[in-house]
Amino acid sequence: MTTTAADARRRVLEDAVVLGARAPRLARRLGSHTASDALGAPEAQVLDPLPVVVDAKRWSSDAAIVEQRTRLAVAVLDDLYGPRRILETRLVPPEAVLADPNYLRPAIGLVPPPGRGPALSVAAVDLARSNGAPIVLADRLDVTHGIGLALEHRRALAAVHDRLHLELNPSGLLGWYAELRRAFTRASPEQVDDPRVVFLTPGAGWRGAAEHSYLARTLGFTVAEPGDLTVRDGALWFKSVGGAEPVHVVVRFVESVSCDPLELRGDAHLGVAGLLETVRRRTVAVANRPGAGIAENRVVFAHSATLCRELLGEEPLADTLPTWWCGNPVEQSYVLANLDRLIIRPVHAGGSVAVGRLLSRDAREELAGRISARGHLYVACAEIPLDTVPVWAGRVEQRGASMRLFTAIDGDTMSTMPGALTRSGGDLAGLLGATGPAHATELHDTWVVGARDHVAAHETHALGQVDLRASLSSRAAETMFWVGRNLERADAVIRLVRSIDQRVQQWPDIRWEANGAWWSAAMAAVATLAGVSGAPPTADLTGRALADSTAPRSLVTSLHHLLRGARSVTELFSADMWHVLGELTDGSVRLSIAAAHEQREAAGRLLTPLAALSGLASESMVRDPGWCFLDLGRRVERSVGTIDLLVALLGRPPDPVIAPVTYETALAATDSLVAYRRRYRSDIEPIAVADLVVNDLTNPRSVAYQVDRIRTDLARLPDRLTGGHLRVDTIEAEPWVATDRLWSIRSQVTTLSLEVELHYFAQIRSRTVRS
Amino acid sequence: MTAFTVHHVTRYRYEQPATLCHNEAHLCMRSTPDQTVDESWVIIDPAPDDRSERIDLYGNWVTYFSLQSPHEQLQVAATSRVRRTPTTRHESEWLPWEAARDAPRGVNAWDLTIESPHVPLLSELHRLTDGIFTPGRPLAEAVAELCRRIYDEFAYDPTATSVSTPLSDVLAGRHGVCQDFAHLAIAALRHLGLSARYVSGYLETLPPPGQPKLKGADASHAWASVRTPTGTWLDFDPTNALVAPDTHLTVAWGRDYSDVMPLRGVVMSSGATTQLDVEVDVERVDPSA
Repeated sequence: MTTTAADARRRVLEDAVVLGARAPRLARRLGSHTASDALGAPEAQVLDPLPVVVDAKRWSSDAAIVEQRTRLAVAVLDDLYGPRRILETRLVPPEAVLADPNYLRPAIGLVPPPGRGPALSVAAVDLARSNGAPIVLADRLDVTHGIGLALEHRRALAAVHDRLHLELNPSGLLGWYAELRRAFTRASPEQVDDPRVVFLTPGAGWRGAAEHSYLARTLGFTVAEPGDLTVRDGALWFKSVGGAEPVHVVVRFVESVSCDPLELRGDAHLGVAGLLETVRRRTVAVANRPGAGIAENRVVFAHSATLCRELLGEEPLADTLPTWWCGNPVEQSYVLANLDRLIIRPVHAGGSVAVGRLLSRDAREELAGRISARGHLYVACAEIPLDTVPVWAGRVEQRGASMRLFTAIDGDTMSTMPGALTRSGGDLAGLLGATGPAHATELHDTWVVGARDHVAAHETHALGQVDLRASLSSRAAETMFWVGRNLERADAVIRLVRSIDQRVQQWPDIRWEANGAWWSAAMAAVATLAGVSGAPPTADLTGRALADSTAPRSLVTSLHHLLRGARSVTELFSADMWHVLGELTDGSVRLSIAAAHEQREAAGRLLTPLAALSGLASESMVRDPGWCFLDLGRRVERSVGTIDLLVALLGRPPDPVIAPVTYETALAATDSLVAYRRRYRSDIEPIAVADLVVNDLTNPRSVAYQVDRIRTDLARLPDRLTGGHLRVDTIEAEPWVATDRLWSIRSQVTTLSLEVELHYFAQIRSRTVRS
Repeated sequence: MTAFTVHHVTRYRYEQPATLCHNEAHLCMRSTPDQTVDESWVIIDPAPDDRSERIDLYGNWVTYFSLQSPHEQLQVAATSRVRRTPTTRHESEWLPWEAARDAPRGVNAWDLTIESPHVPLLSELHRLTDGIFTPGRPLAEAVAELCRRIYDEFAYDPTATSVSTPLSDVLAGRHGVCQDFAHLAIAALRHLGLSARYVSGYLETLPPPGQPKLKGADASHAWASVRTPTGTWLDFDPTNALVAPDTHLTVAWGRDYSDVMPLRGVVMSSGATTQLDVEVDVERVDPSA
């Protein structure tokens, strides 16, 4: 028996206190999903623990509205980038559209004529209700944010409220994502049989980076930053470590205005030069089409009803937010007379949101001045009352809401997600994008309940088998390599400092023994590994080695690079690894703000997540090229670091008084002390130290072991670079006798590392020139 | 009728070899009612790996090309043979300027009436037209005076501005080059509600004996054009204070410089700097030769 929406809503309200109490669990869970948002990227959003329940019947009428809006947007785009009839006949005042920076002149004529492929592959509509009647707040067409969030939110909420989810059994979402994948794949130029789809994103740190990579992983598409793509011979190529691979569909998460620095104005690093030329030649399809944002123009929006009748021959199924265009003298005088009751925005999508009633007298006058001088650039909308949804704020409150519904477009077929991203907030301005605490909003998962042709909520394989293909961009490869190196750097510095601390604890006088020889050797090792320098040799460098963010290889610096790198290749790490990376982030923040006497403890706590990360890398990652580069980075760093450590501590024969402690320091810092004791059960002999730390292939910390792994990693990579010339001589001598041989191994490894960089990573930045 | 041969050579030298470049050129000349283009072609050295030609929204020729192997320099040479008749004048140019402002127009003309990337409609612009666009004054007469005002009040100074200098700086600094003056005139006219476009082209390098050499003759030149009440266009050159000049040769037109940049490109090179040389040579072809 199916639950009705009314029952479901009652259940949610009855259980609100229990559901609300799970908010922290929900946040933690999403923290590992949207890890990079949790790691400090902008736009981190709060998911409310209360789902919004929608009756299936209402959902289908909303879906009809969304689909009509989408058909209208396609018709508008076909016209504005084709015959421009709606401007010629002044159905929409041309100056409002022509002044919109999202109206891309080079894209005129680029959109194929109707019937020759869709202008849009995915669209979103923000739909609210006012006194029970649906009202459209906005269309989202250029870059559709939230598609990935909707799925992440559903998965998190379904897991946290597992019993409620089972009981209410809302329509599942995965079937829709399969449709979306089909829509993107089918956007491909017709001559391609097995199209390659990439997600073009501006990169880590930009809005939605985590969401896009999550979505890419779910759909099985590659994430590409602009630098990963290149246009050659009028076609588009993905620069993978195995060579250039053709791309047929670009799912664009970079704004249209930036997507091609050759033909459009925009930063050369945000777009792909020549992209529009590939579209023109029909070797590549961009979804959504470059310039789609013009259909979000607010004057076009204000004329929706007329356009719907003229272009589609249909009556609009829903009203749009009442909007006045200040380029029209009559409307302008209405707006100026009612500024305190209106919300003022620019004509083009995005831009600032000014709430008349919240402006100071001066600000309002200034705004009125701008509107009277250049009215065609502004629209105003009424602050209509919005119907509410229950929100958890320590107790249940009712707040105005708008639902973002998503539609996938495959030719003439549209399919709307049976769910939505609902946003609730204090006022309409916040839902329209106003920023500031007064306009804060929260997100809700939206459950469609009581659908008759119900797709089970628990379907697992609707997306089917995904062919991830083993391609890895050169950029991602380089990032993984450095993530690996920084992981080992961080590990080595903590272990060295800990090893020194332990010796000092055990033998409090060791610092002054043999004229401080042990201490200065230990500090030399610290200086080399962490890259701290400048202090007199007797000073204690350990604090700086841990927490000096200006030192090139200190613990905080290495963690910073490690985390920043990981954020830019989110899709290559599993949810578990993101969980650990989240701990590392917290830990490194604690370390960087720790007082001197707390640094040790803060650093010590990092060892476990670092070890967990290494462990997960070994145990839970497929040995694909991404893993190989991560491992290569680790092995290169560990061999170089171990040799540096040996040379710093044992480059000269130690004074007999401090010799045993010095050997112990070296063994403990290379995590080989226990192994040594188990194997030799004797006093520490320097030759045996060298054997265990350099030669021993069974010791995963030894140099020889690292070199062996480097060879294996290289052999796994495409477009092979041989590691055959790497030679590790067995060292059967005291380390100080063998320093030349140690240096030779070190320089072989660093040379190889440079070869890897040149062979696989060589990235050249582009720039714009003009005559 | 006068025949001309135009050579326009652009050379880039890169500090470090460029591995890949994509370029777009507006160098092939278009025909106009007063200008017949017999031939216009572009030779690129090294030979491009990819090249295509198309016509843009404004009816100009656009050449796209890319070089995909390392190169230290790039030369783009355009050669054109054109015949120019004296500029046709239209009676509508002598109608009151308000008639042009109030005339119905299509989308393409509307596009030239509002602001564009290099032409912001600054509020100070009215100072350029105050006292000139008086009620009922013939359009051509008012435009001539606007032209003269810019010529008199602004200093021609190739060192003062670059292609990225905003119009507000030109207005405040009272100096600039042909591009700036064209943008200034266009902005002033659009500010009044008139349709105005940016024209890129050439001047004769060495004028006939007895005539002065014009400013901008050694490089590509730029001027402006205003739409008359009947939809014809009246060219004028604020840099040289000329209305309806007879020997200006048109390459392309658009909303402003950004639509018709002679050559622009995106280059992949590890070097930071590019050395640029431009040579323009416009010769009158002796009809007896």
